[in-house]
Amino acid sequence: MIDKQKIIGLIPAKAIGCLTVEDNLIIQSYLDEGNEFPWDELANYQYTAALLPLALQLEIPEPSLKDNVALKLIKLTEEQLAKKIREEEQLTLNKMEEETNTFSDDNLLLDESAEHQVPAEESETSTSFNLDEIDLPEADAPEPFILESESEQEQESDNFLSKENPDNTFSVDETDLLQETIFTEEPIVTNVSEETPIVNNEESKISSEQTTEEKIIEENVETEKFSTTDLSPQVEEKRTIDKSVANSKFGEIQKKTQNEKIFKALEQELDLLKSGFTESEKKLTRNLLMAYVAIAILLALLIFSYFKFTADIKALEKEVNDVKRNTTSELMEKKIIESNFYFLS
Amino acid sequence: METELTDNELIERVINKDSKSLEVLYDKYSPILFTLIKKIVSDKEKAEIVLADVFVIIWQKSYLYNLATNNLYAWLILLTRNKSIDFIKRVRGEINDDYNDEYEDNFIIPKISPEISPLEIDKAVDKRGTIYSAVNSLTEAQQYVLSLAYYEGLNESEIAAKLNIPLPTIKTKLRVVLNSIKDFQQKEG
Repeated sequence: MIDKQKIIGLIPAKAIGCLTVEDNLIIQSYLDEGNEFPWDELANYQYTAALLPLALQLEIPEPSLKDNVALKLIKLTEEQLAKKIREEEQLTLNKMEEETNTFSDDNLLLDESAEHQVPAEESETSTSFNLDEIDLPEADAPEPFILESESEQEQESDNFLSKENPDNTFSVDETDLLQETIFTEEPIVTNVSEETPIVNNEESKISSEQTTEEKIIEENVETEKFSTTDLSPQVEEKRTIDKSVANSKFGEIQKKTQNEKIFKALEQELDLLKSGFTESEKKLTRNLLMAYVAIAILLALLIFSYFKFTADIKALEKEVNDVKRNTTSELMEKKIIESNFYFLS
Repeated sequence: METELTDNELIERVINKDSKSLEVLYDKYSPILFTLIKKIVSDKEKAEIVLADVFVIIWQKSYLYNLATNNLYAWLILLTRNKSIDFIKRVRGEINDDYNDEYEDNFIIPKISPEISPLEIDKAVDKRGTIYSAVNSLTEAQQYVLSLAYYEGLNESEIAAKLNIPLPTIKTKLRVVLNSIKDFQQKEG
Protein backbone atom coordinates (compact mmCIF):
# COMPACT_ATOMS: atom_id res chain seq x y z
CA MET A 1 0.00 0.00 0.00
CA ILE A 2 1.52 3.29 -1.09
CA ASP A 3 1.10 6.27 1.17
CA LYS A 4 -0.90 9.11 -0.37
CA GLN A 5 1.46 11.67 1.18
CA LYS A 6 4.31 10.10 -0.72
CA ILE A 7 2.37 10.45 -3.94
CA ILE A 8 1.61 14.09 -3.19
CA GLY A 9 5.34 14.58 -2.67
CA LEU A 10 6.00 13.28 -6.16
CA ILE A 11 3.42 15.49 -7.87
CA PRO A 12 5.61 18.61 -8.50
CA ALA A 13 8.26 16.54 -10.25
CA LYS A 14 5.57 14.72 -12.23
CA ALA A 15 4.05 18.03 -13.35
CA ILE A 16 7.38 19.43 -14.41
CA GLY A 17 8.40 16.17 -16.11
CA CYS A 18 11.48 15.29 -14.08
CA LEU A 19 10.36 12.20 -12.19
CA THR A 20 12.82 9.36 -11.89
CA VAL A 21 11.84 6.05 -13.47
CA GLU A 22 11.29 4.50 -10.03
CA ASP A 23 9.02 7.33 -8.87
CA ASN A 24 7.10 7.10 -12.11
CA LEU A 25 6.51 3.41 -11.43
CA ILE A 26 5.32 4.20 -7.89
CA ILE A 27 2.73 6.63 -9.28
CA GLN A 28 1.70 4.13 -11.92
CA SER A 29 1.20 1.31 -9.42
CA TYR A 30 -0.68 3.70 -7.10
CA LEU A 31 -3.03 4.49 -9.97
CA ASP A 32 -3.31 0.82 -10.93
CA GLU A 33 -4.34 -0.04 -7.39
CA GLY A 34 -7.34 2.21 -7.92
CA ASN A 35 -6.45 4.65 -5.15
CA GLU A 36 -7.76 8.16 -5.07
CA PHE A 37 -5.23 10.24 -6.99
CA PRO A 38 -4.64 13.89 -6.03
CA TRP A 39 -5.69 15.20 -9.43
CA ASP A 40 -6.26 18.73 -8.12
CA GLU A 41 -2.66 18.90 -6.84
CA LEU A 42 -1.38 17.72 -10.19
CA ALA A 43 -3.66 20.18 -11.97
CA ASN A 44 -2.24 23.12 -9.98
CA TYR A 45 1.36 22.19 -10.68
CA GLN A 46 0.72 21.42 -14.34
CA TYR A 47 -0.96 24.80 -14.73
CA THR A 48 2.09 26.51 -13.23
CA ALA A 49 4.52 24.41 -15.26
CA ALA A 50 2.70 25.38 -18.46
CA LEU A 51 3.08 29.07 -17.63
CA LEU A 52 6.89 28.91 -17.23
CA PRO A 53 7.80 29.51 -20.92
CA LEU A 54 6.00 32.86 -20.70
CA ALA A 55 8.99 34.17 -18.77
CA LEU A 56 11.20 33.69 -21.84
CA GLN A 57 11.93 36.37 -24.42
CA LEU A 58 9.45 35.65 -27.19
CA GLU A 59 10.88 34.61 -30.57
CA ILE A 60 8.88 34.54 -33.77
CA PRO A 61 9.64 31.68 -36.17
CA GLU A 62 10.48 32.41 -39.80
CA PRO A 63 7.38 32.74 -42.00
CA SER A 64 8.85 30.08 -44.30
CA LEU A 65 8.60 27.59 -41.45
CA LYS A 66 4.86 27.50 -41.94
CA ASP A 67 5.46 26.22 -45.47
CA ASN A 68 7.89 23.65 -44.15
CA VAL A 69 5.30 22.41 -41.69
CA ALA A 70 2.78 22.17 -44.52
CA LEU A 71 5.35 20.35 -46.65
CA LYS A 72 6.10 17.93 -43.86
CA LEU A 73 2.41 17.15 -43.47
CA ILE A 74 2.04 16.64 -47.21
CA LYS A 75 5.13 14.43 -47.30
CA LEU A 76 3.76 12.41 -44.45
CA THR A 77 0.41 12.04 -46.16
CA GLU A 78 2.05 10.93 -49.37
CA GLU A 79 4.17 8.41 -47.52
CA GLN A 80 1.10 7.02 -45.84
CA LEU A 81 -0.68 6.88 -49.16
CA ALA A 82 2.24 5.09 -50.80
CA LYS A 83 2.36 2.67 -47.89
CA LYS A 84 -1.34 1.98 -48.28
CA ILE A 85 -0.94 1.35 -52.01
CA ARG A 86 2.03 -0.93 -51.33
CA GLU A 87 0.01 -2.89 -48.80
CA GLU A 88 -2.91 -3.21 -51.19
CA GLU A 89 -0.64 -4.41 -53.95
CA GLN A 90 1.05 -6.82 -51.60
CA LEU A 91 -2.38 -8.17 -50.73
CA THR A 92 -3.27 -8.59 -54.38
CA LEU A 93 0.03 -10.32 -55.02
CA ASN A 94 -0.58 -12.65 -52.09
CA LYS A 95 -4.04 -13.43 -53.42
CA MET A 96 -2.61 -14.13 -56.85
CA GLU A 97 0.00 -16.40 -55.31
CA GLU A 98 -2.69 -18.24 -53.37
CA GLU A 99 -4.72 -18.65 -56.54
CA THR A 100 -1.74 -19.96 -58.44
CA ASN A 101 -1.02 -22.34 -55.57
CA THR A 102 -4.50 -23.77 -55.68
CA PHE A 103 -4.25 -23.94 -59.46
CA SER A 104 -1.01 -25.91 -59.27
CA ASP A 105 -2.56 -28.19 -56.64
CA ASP A 106 -5.44 -28.91 -59.00
CA ASN A 107 -2.95 -29.67 -61.70
CA LEU A 108 -1.21 -32.05 -59.39
CA LEU A 109 -4.45 -33.91 -58.79
CA LEU A 110 -5.22 -34.04 -62.48
CA ASP A 111 -1.78 -35.30 -63.22
CA GLU A 112 -2.07 -37.98 -60.59
CA SER A 113 -5.20 -39.30 -62.24
CA ALA A 114 -3.60 -39.12 -65.65
CA GLU A 115 -0.50 -40.95 -64.45
CA HIS A 116 -2.08 -44.28 -65.35
CA GLN A 117 -2.50 -43.30 -68.95
CA VAL A 118 0.68 -41.41 -69.75
CA PRO A 119 4.20 -42.72 -69.59
CA ALA A 120 6.16 -42.12 -66.38
CA GLU A 121 8.50 -39.52 -67.87
CA GLU A 122 5.65 -37.48 -69.22
CA SER A 123 3.80 -37.60 -65.93
CA GLU A 124 6.90 -36.35 -64.11
CA THR A 125 7.12 -33.34 -66.35
CA SER A 126 3.48 -32.53 -65.87
CA THR A 127 3.66 -32.78 -62.05
CA SER A 128 6.57 -30.36 -62.00
CA PHE A 129 4.32 -27.78 -63.61
CA ASN A 130 4.09 -25.38 -60.72
CA LEU A 131 2.93 -21.81 -61.19
CA ASP A 132 4.81 -20.86 -58.06
CA GLU A 133 7.96 -21.02 -60.04
CA ILE A 134 6.75 -18.43 -62.45
CA ASP A 135 8.20 -15.07 -61.55
CA LEU A 136 5.55 -12.46 -61.45
CA PRO A 137 6.67 -9.15 -62.94
CA GLU A 138 7.88 -6.97 -60.12
CA ALA A 139 7.95 -3.83 -62.16
CA ASP A 140 4.34 -3.18 -61.29
CA ALA A 141 5.02 -3.03 -57.60
CA PRO A 142 6.12 0.42 -56.45
CA GLU A 143 9.48 0.71 -54.81
CA PRO A 144 9.35 1.24 -51.06
CA PHE A 145 9.78 4.80 -49.96
CA ILE A 146 12.64 4.97 -47.56
CA LEU A 147 14.13 8.21 -46.42
CA GLU A 148 17.67 7.09 -45.98
CA SER A 149 19.28 10.45 -46.17
CA GLU A 150 18.33 11.87 -42.82
CA SER A 151 21.01 11.96 -40.16
CA GLU A 152 20.65 9.50 -37.35
CA GLN A 153 19.32 12.04 -34.94
CA GLU A 154 16.84 13.37 -37.41
CA GLN A 155 15.78 9.89 -38.37
CA GLU A 156 15.09 9.11 -34.79
CA SER A 157 13.14 12.24 -34.25
CA ASP A 158 11.22 11.76 -37.46
CA ASN A 159 10.62 8.09 -37.01
CA PHE A 160 6.97 8.53 -36.36
CA LEU A 161 6.56 9.95 -39.80
CA SER A 162 7.15 6.57 -41.29
CA LYS A 163 4.56 4.88 -39.15
CA GLU A 164 1.05 4.29 -40.14
CA ASN A 165 -1.52 6.26 -38.30
CA PRO A 166 -4.51 4.06 -37.62
CA ASP A 167 -6.99 6.89 -37.51
CA ASN A 168 -5.57 8.90 -40.25
CA THR A 169 -8.02 9.46 -43.04
CA PHE A 170 -5.94 11.58 -45.33
CA SER A 171 -6.88 11.50 -48.92
CA VAL A 172 -5.07 12.88 -51.94
CA ASP A 173 -7.71 15.55 -52.12
CA GLU A 174 -7.04 16.46 -48.54
CA THR A 175 -3.37 16.74 -49.25
CA ASP A 176 -4.02 19.00 -52.15
CA LEU A 177 -6.39 21.03 -50.06
CA LEU A 178 -3.86 21.33 -47.29
CA GLN A 179 -1.17 22.34 -49.73
CA GLU A 180 -3.45 24.83 -51.33
CA THR A 181 -4.68 26.35 -48.10
CA ILE A 182 -1.45 26.48 -46.21
CA PHE A 183 0.68 27.74 -49.05
CA THR A 184 -1.61 30.49 -50.16
CA GLU A 185 -2.05 32.13 -46.82
CA GLU A 186 -0.64 35.51 -45.94
CA PRO A 187 2.25 35.80 -43.48
CA ILE A 188 1.76 34.73 -39.90
CA VAL A 189 -0.26 37.07 -37.79
CA THR A 190 -0.02 36.16 -34.19
CA ASN A 191 -2.07 37.12 -31.26
CA VAL A 192 1.05 37.23 -29.20
CA SER A 193 2.62 40.65 -29.13
CA GLU A 194 6.31 40.53 -29.77
CA GLU A 195 7.52 42.84 -27.11
CA THR A 196 5.46 42.75 -24.03
CA PRO A 197 7.18 44.99 -21.56
CA ILE A 198 8.18 43.00 -18.59
CA VAL A 199 7.33 44.79 -15.41
CA ASN A 200 9.92 44.09 -12.82
CA ASN A 201 7.77 43.98 -9.81
CA GLU A 202 9.74 45.21 -6.94
CA GLU A 203 10.27 43.24 -3.84
CA SER A 204 7.95 40.38 -4.28
CA LYS A 205 10.15 38.28 -2.16
CA ILE A 206 9.16 34.74 -1.73
CA SER A 207 9.98 33.33 1.58
CA SER A 208 12.66 30.86 0.77
CA GLU A 209 15.69 30.79 2.91
CA GLN A 210 19.15 30.60 1.52
CA THR A 211 20.17 27.24 2.77
CA THR A 212 23.62 25.83 2.70
CA GLU A 213 22.65 23.69 -0.27
CA GLU A 214 21.77 26.80 -2.17
CA LYS A 215 25.20 28.16 -1.62
CA ILE A 216 26.64 25.00 -3.06
CA ILE A 217 24.33 25.29 -6.02
CA GLU A 218 25.27 28.91 -6.58
CA GLU A 219 28.89 27.88 -6.71
CA ASN A 220 27.92 25.37 -9.36
CA VAL A 221 25.96 28.03 -11.16
CA GLU A 222 29.04 30.13 -11.56
CA THR A 223 30.98 27.28 -13.06
CA GLU A 224 28.26 25.86 -15.25
CA LYS A 225 26.06 28.87 -16.11
CA PHE A 226 22.99 27.32 -17.69
CA SER A 227 25.04 25.49 -20.28
CA THR A 228 22.85 24.41 -23.12
CA THR A 229 23.59 21.56 -25.45
CA ASP A 230 25.83 22.62 -28.28
CA LEU A 231 26.53 20.15 -30.99
CA SER A 232 29.98 19.64 -32.38
CA PRO A 233 30.72 21.28 -35.74
CA GLN A 234 31.10 17.84 -37.35
CA VAL A 235 27.54 16.99 -36.42
CA GLU A 236 26.45 20.37 -37.73
CA GLU A 237 28.25 19.79 -41.01
CA LYS A 238 26.76 16.32 -41.32
CA ARG A 239 23.34 17.74 -40.76
CA THR A 240 23.75 20.31 -43.55
CA ILE A 241 24.93 17.61 -45.95
CA ASP A 242 22.15 15.32 -44.86
CA LYS A 243 19.65 18.07 -45.36
CA SER A 244 20.70 18.67 -48.96
CA VAL A 245 20.62 14.92 -49.61
CA ALA A 246 17.21 14.79 -47.99
CA ASN A 247 16.03 17.56 -50.28
CA SER A 248 17.18 15.71 -53.37
CA LYS A 249 15.70 12.49 -52.03
CA PHE A 250 12.47 14.28 -51.41
CA GLY A 251 12.40 15.31 -55.08
CA GLU A 252 12.95 11.71 -56.08
CA ILE A 253 10.22 10.52 -53.75
CA GLN A 254 7.86 13.10 -55.13
CA LYS A 255 8.68 11.97 -58.68
CA LYS A 256 8.11 8.36 -57.76
CA THR A 257 4.87 9.20 -56.03
CA GLN A 258 3.73 11.13 -59.08
CA ASN A 259 4.65 8.26 -61.38
CA GLU A 260 2.78 5.94 -59.11
CA LYS A 261 -0.22 8.23 -59.13
CA ILE A 262 -0.17 8.38 -62.94
CA PHE A 263 0.13 4.62 -63.11
CA LYS A 264 -2.78 4.22 -60.71
CA ALA A 265 -4.85 6.73 -62.68
CA LEU A 266 -4.11 4.86 -65.91
CA GLU A 267 -5.08 1.60 -64.31
CA GLN A 268 -8.30 3.14 -63.08
CA GLU A 269 -9.02 4.55 -66.52
CA LEU A 270 -8.40 1.16 -68.09
CA ASP A 271 -10.77 -0.43 -65.60
CA LEU A 272 -13.33 2.24 -66.38
CA LEU A 273 -12.95 1.62 -70.11
CA LYS A 274 -13.31 -2.10 -69.58
CA SER A 275 -16.44 -1.71 -67.54
CA GLY A 276 -17.78 0.79 -70.08
CA PHE A 277 -17.14 -1.66 -72.87
CA THR A 278 -18.91 -4.50 -71.07
CA GLU A 279 -21.77 -2.20 -70.29
CA SER A 280 -22.17 -1.07 -73.89
CA GLU A 281 -21.89 -4.66 -75.10
CA LYS A 282 -24.74 -5.62 -72.80
CA LYS A 283 -26.75 -2.66 -74.01
CA LEU A 284 -26.19 -3.61 -77.62
CA THR A 285 -27.34 -7.19 -77.05
CA ARG A 286 -30.42 -5.92 -75.23
CA ASN A 287 -31.22 -3.50 -78.04
CA LEU A 288 -30.76 -6.19 -80.66
CA LEU A 289 -33.14 -8.48 -78.83
CA MET A 290 -35.65 -5.68 -78.60
CA ALA A 291 -35.31 -5.03 -82.32
CA TYR A 292 -35.87 -8.72 -83.09
CA VAL A 293 -38.99 -8.77 -80.95
CA ALA A 294 -40.28 -5.60 -82.60
CA ILE A 295 -39.67 -7.00 -86.07
CA ALA A 296 -41.44 -10.22 -85.16
CA ILE A 297 -44.41 -8.28 -83.83
CA LEU A 298 -44.50 -6.14 -86.97
CA LEU A 299 -44.37 -9.20 -89.19
CA ALA A 300 -47.20 -10.80 -87.23
CA LEU A 301 -49.21 -7.61 -87.57
CA LEU A 302 -48.53 -7.52 -91.32
CA ILE A 303 -49.61 -11.08 -91.80
CA PHE A 304 -52.67 -10.52 -89.67
CA SER A 305 -53.64 -7.37 -91.55
CA TYR A 306 -53.05 -9.11 -94.90
CA PHE A 307 -55.44 -11.86 -94.02
CA LYS A 308 -57.89 -9.42 -92.55
CA PHE A 309 -57.84 -7.19 -95.61
CA THR A 310 -58.23 -10.13 -97.93
CA ALA A 311 -61.21 -11.32 -95.94
CA ASP A 312 -62.68 -7.82 -95.89
CA ILE A 313 -62.22 -7.42 -99.65
CA LYS A 314 -63.92 -10.72 -100.25
CA ALA A 315 -66.79 -9.76 -98.00
CA LEU A 316 -67.13 -6.43 -99.76
CA GLU A 317 -67.09 -8.07 -103.16
CA LYS A 318 -69.80 -10.38 -102.03
CA GLU A 319 -71.81 -7.45 -100.73
CA VAL A 320 -71.37 -5.59 -103.99
CA ASN A 321 -72.57 -8.59 -105.93
CA ASP A 322 -75.59 -8.86 -103.65
CA VAL A 323 -76.36 -5.21 -104.06
CA LYS A 324 -76.00 -5.51 -107.79
CA ARG A 325 -78.34 -8.48 -107.90
CA ASN A 326 -80.90 -6.70 -105.76
CA THR A 327 -80.88 -3.52 -107.81
CA THR A 328 -81.44 -5.41 -111.06
CA SER A 329 -84.52 -7.20 -109.69
CA GLU A 330 -85.82 -3.93 -108.20
CA LEU A 331 -85.39 -2.15 -111.52
CA MET A 332 -87.17 -4.95 -113.32
CA GLU A 333 -90.04 -4.69 -110.91
CA LYS A 334 -90.19 -0.88 -111.31
CA LYS A 335 -90.24 -1.21 -115.11
CA ILE A 336 -93.18 -3.60 -114.96
CA ILE A 337 -95.13 -1.24 -112.69
CA GLU A 338 -94.34 1.75 -114.83
CA SER A 339 -95.40 -0.07 -117.99
CA ASN A 340 -98.64 -1.10 -116.30
CA PHE A 341 -99.26 2.50 -115.32
CA TYR A 342 -98.78 3.80 -118.82
CA PHE A 343 -100.94 1.07 -120.18
CA LEU A 344 -103.83 1.79 -117.81
CA SER A 345 -103.64 5.54 -118.28
CA MET B 1 -11.87 31.06 -41.14
CA GLU B 2 -13.43 32.69 -38.13
CA THR B 3 -10.66 34.02 -35.93
CA GLU B 4 -12.85 34.26 -32.84
CA LEU B 5 -12.94 30.49 -32.44
CA THR B 6 -11.86 29.30 -29.02
CA ASP B 7 -8.91 26.99 -28.59
CA ASN B 8 -11.22 24.10 -27.85
CA GLU B 9 -13.29 24.75 -30.97
CA LEU B 10 -10.12 24.91 -33.04
CA ILE B 11 -8.68 21.67 -31.74
CA GLU B 12 -12.04 19.99 -32.18
CA ARG B 13 -11.89 20.92 -35.85
CA VAL B 14 -8.31 19.72 -36.07
CA ILE B 15 -9.45 16.40 -34.62
CA ASN B 16 -11.89 16.29 -37.53
CA LYS B 17 -8.94 16.88 -39.89
CA ASP B 18 -9.69 20.48 -40.75
CA SER B 19 -6.35 21.77 -42.05
CA LYS B 20 -7.45 25.41 -41.93
CA SER B 21 -7.97 25.15 -38.19
CA LEU B 22 -4.51 23.67 -37.82
CA GLU B 23 -3.21 26.69 -39.66
CA VAL B 24 -5.01 29.06 -37.30
CA LEU B 25 -3.62 27.09 -34.39
CA TYR B 26 -0.16 27.44 -35.88
CA ASP B 27 -0.56 31.19 -36.18
CA LYS B 28 -1.70 31.45 -32.58
CA TYR B 29 0.75 29.09 -30.92
CA SER B 30 3.90 28.97 -33.04
CA PRO B 31 5.63 31.95 -31.34
CA ILE B 32 5.35 30.60 -27.79
CA LEU B 33 6.07 27.02 -28.83
CA PHE B 34 9.05 28.09 -30.94
CA THR B 35 10.40 30.15 -28.04
CA LEU B 36 10.15 27.16 -25.72
CA ILE B 37 11.75 24.78 -28.24
CA LYS B 38 14.56 27.20 -28.98
CA LYS B 39 15.30 27.53 -25.28
CA ILE B 40 15.53 23.74 -24.95
CA VAL B 41 17.38 22.80 -28.14
CA SER B 42 19.30 26.10 -28.36
CA ASP B 43 19.60 26.01 -32.13
CA LYS B 44 17.30 27.74 -34.60
CA GLU B 45 17.42 25.06 -37.27
CA LYS B 46 16.76 22.26 -34.83
CA ALA B 47 14.01 24.28 -33.21
CA GLU B 48 12.33 24.56 -36.60
CA ILE B 49 12.55 20.81 -37.09
CA VAL B 50 11.04 20.15 -33.66
CA LEU B 51 8.26 22.70 -34.21
CA ALA B 52 7.32 20.98 -37.46
CA ASP B 53 7.35 17.63 -35.63
CA VAL B 54 5.13 19.06 -32.92
CA PHE B 55 2.56 20.18 -35.47
CA VAL B 56 2.66 16.78 -37.12
CA ILE B 57 1.88 15.25 -33.71
CA ILE B 58 -0.93 17.75 -33.19
CA TRP B 59 -2.35 16.82 -36.60
CA GLN B 60 -2.13 13.11 -35.95
CA LYS B 61 -2.77 12.80 -32.22
CA SER B 62 -5.09 15.67 -31.38
CA TYR B 63 -7.76 13.10 -30.58
CA LEU B 64 -5.78 12.31 -27.42
CA TYR B 65 -6.46 15.79 -26.07
CA ASN B 66 -9.18 15.80 -23.43
CA LEU B 67 -11.64 18.47 -24.55
CA ALA B 68 -13.16 18.51 -21.06
CA THR B 69 -10.02 20.12 -19.60
CA ASN B 70 -10.52 23.19 -21.79
CA ASN B 71 -6.83 23.96 -21.45
CA LEU B 72 -5.26 23.42 -24.82
CA TYR B 73 -2.51 25.84 -23.85
CA ALA B 74 -1.15 23.54 -21.12
CA TRP B 75 -1.49 20.48 -23.36
CA LEU B 76 0.48 22.09 -26.17
CA ILE B 77 3.17 23.57 -23.92
CA LEU B 78 3.80 20.30 -22.10
CA LEU B 79 3.66 18.32 -25.36
CA THR B 80 6.22 20.66 -26.94
CA ARG B 81 8.43 20.52 -23.87
CA ASN B 82 8.38 16.71 -23.85
CA LYS B 83 9.10 16.52 -27.57
CA SER B 84 11.99 18.98 -27.34
CA ILE B 85 13.55 17.18 -24.37
CA ASP B 86 13.20 13.88 -26.21
CA PHE B 87 14.86 15.43 -29.25
CA ILE B 88 17.93 16.71 -27.38
CA LYS B 89 18.25 13.50 -25.40
CA ARG B 90 18.28 11.51 -28.62
CA VAL B 91 20.86 13.89 -30.07
CA ARG B 92 22.98 13.36 -26.96
CA GLY B 93 22.45 9.61 -27.23
CA GLU B 94 20.71 9.43 -23.86
CA ILE B 95 17.58 7.85 -25.33
CA ASN B 96 17.87 4.87 -27.62
CA ASP B 97 14.31 3.57 -27.45
CA ASP B 98 12.45 3.20 -30.72
CA TYR B 99 10.30 6.20 -31.45
CA ASN B 100 6.99 4.60 -32.22
CA ASP B 101 3.32 5.27 -31.61
CA GLU B 102 3.34 3.65 -28.21
CA TYR B 103 6.39 5.62 -27.11
CA GLU B 104 4.85 8.86 -28.34
CA ASP B 105 1.59 8.20 -26.55
CA ASN B 106 3.34 7.35 -23.28
CA PHE B 107 6.20 9.81 -23.13
CA ILE B 108 5.48 12.71 -25.45
CA ILE B 109 1.74 13.30 -25.21
CA PRO B 110 1.09 14.81 -21.78
CA LYS B 111 -1.57 13.48 -19.46
CA ILE B 112 -3.24 16.61 -18.24
CA SER B 113 -5.17 16.40 -15.00
CA PRO B 114 -8.91 16.64 -15.63
CA GLU B 115 -9.08 19.10 -12.72
CA ILE B 116 -6.90 21.72 -14.42
CA SER B 117 -8.32 25.23 -14.74
CA PRO B 118 -9.22 26.34 -18.27
CA LEU B 119 -6.72 28.58 -20.03
CA GLU B 120 -6.40 29.98 -23.53
CA ILE B 121 -3.31 31.41 -25.22
CA ASP B 122 -4.62 35.00 -25.17
CA LYS B 123 -5.21 34.90 -21.43
CA ALA B 124 -1.88 33.15 -20.83
CA VAL B 125 0.00 35.86 -22.72
CA ASP B 126 -1.55 38.45 -20.43
CA LYS B 127 0.23 36.74 -17.55
CA ARG B 128 3.68 37.18 -19.09
CA GLY B 129 4.72 40.04 -16.86
CA THR B 130 3.62 38.24 -13.72
CA ILE B 131 5.39 35.01 -14.60
CA TYR B 132 8.56 36.87 -15.53
CA SER B 133 8.53 38.63 -12.17
CA ALA B 134 7.75 35.38 -10.36
CA VAL B 135 10.69 33.58 -11.97
CA ASN B 136 13.00 36.52 -11.34
CA SER B 137 11.99 36.60 -7.70
CA LEU B 138 13.49 33.13 -7.25
CA THR B 139 17.03 32.81 -6.01
CA GLU B 140 19.67 32.01 -8.59
CA ALA B 141 19.97 28.48 -7.18
CA GLN B 142 16.25 27.93 -7.44
CA GLN B 143 16.25 29.24 -10.99
CA TYR B 144 19.09 26.90 -11.84
CA VAL B 145 17.34 23.84 -10.42
CA LEU B 146 14.20 24.81 -12.29
CA SER B 147 16.14 25.28 -15.50
CA LEU B 148 17.85 21.89 -15.14
CA ALA B 149 14.53 20.17 -14.60
CA TYR B 150 12.34 22.01 -17.07
CA TYR B 151 14.61 23.08 -19.90
CA GLU B 152 17.36 20.48 -19.75
CA GLY B 153 15.19 17.51 -18.94
CA LEU B 154 17.23 16.17 -16.05
CA ASN B 155 15.35 14.09 -13.54
CA GLU B 156 15.59 14.66 -9.80
CA SER B 157 18.37 12.11 -9.24
CA GLU B 158 20.39 13.53 -12.10
CA ILE B 159 20.03 17.04 -10.70
CA ALA B 160 21.04 15.80 -7.26
CA ALA B 161 24.07 14.06 -8.71
CA LYS B 162 25.02 17.06 -10.82
CA LEU B 163 24.77 19.49 -7.94
CA ASN B 164 26.09 17.00 -5.42
CA ILE B 165 23.26 17.50 -2.97
CA PRO B 166 20.82 14.98 -1.48
CA LEU B 167 17.79 13.91 -3.52
CA PRO B 168 15.22 14.96 -0.88
CA THR B 169 16.62 18.48 -0.97
CA ILE B 170 16.05 18.64 -4.71
CA LYS B 171 12.49 17.39 -4.26
CA THR B 172 11.81 20.07 -1.67
CA LYS B 173 13.44 22.73 -3.76
CA LEU B 174 11.31 21.94 -6.80
CA ARG B 175 8.18 22.01 -4.70
CA VAL B 176 9.17 25.35 -3.18
CA VAL B 177 9.96 26.81 -6.62
CA LEU B 178 6.64 25.79 -8.14
CA ASN B 179 4.70 26.91 -5.08
CA SER B 180 6.46 30.26 -5.15
CA ILE B 181 5.53 30.86 -8.77
CA LYS B 182 1.99 29.66 -8.17
CA ASP B 183 1.56 31.90 -5.10
CA PHE B 184 3.10 34.88 -6.84
CA GLN B 185 0.83 34.44 -9.80
CA GLN B 186 -2.25 34.04 -7.61
CA LYS B 187 -1.31 37.13 -5.65
CA GLU B 188 -0.82 39.20 -8.78
CA GLY B 189 -3.55 37.75 -10.89
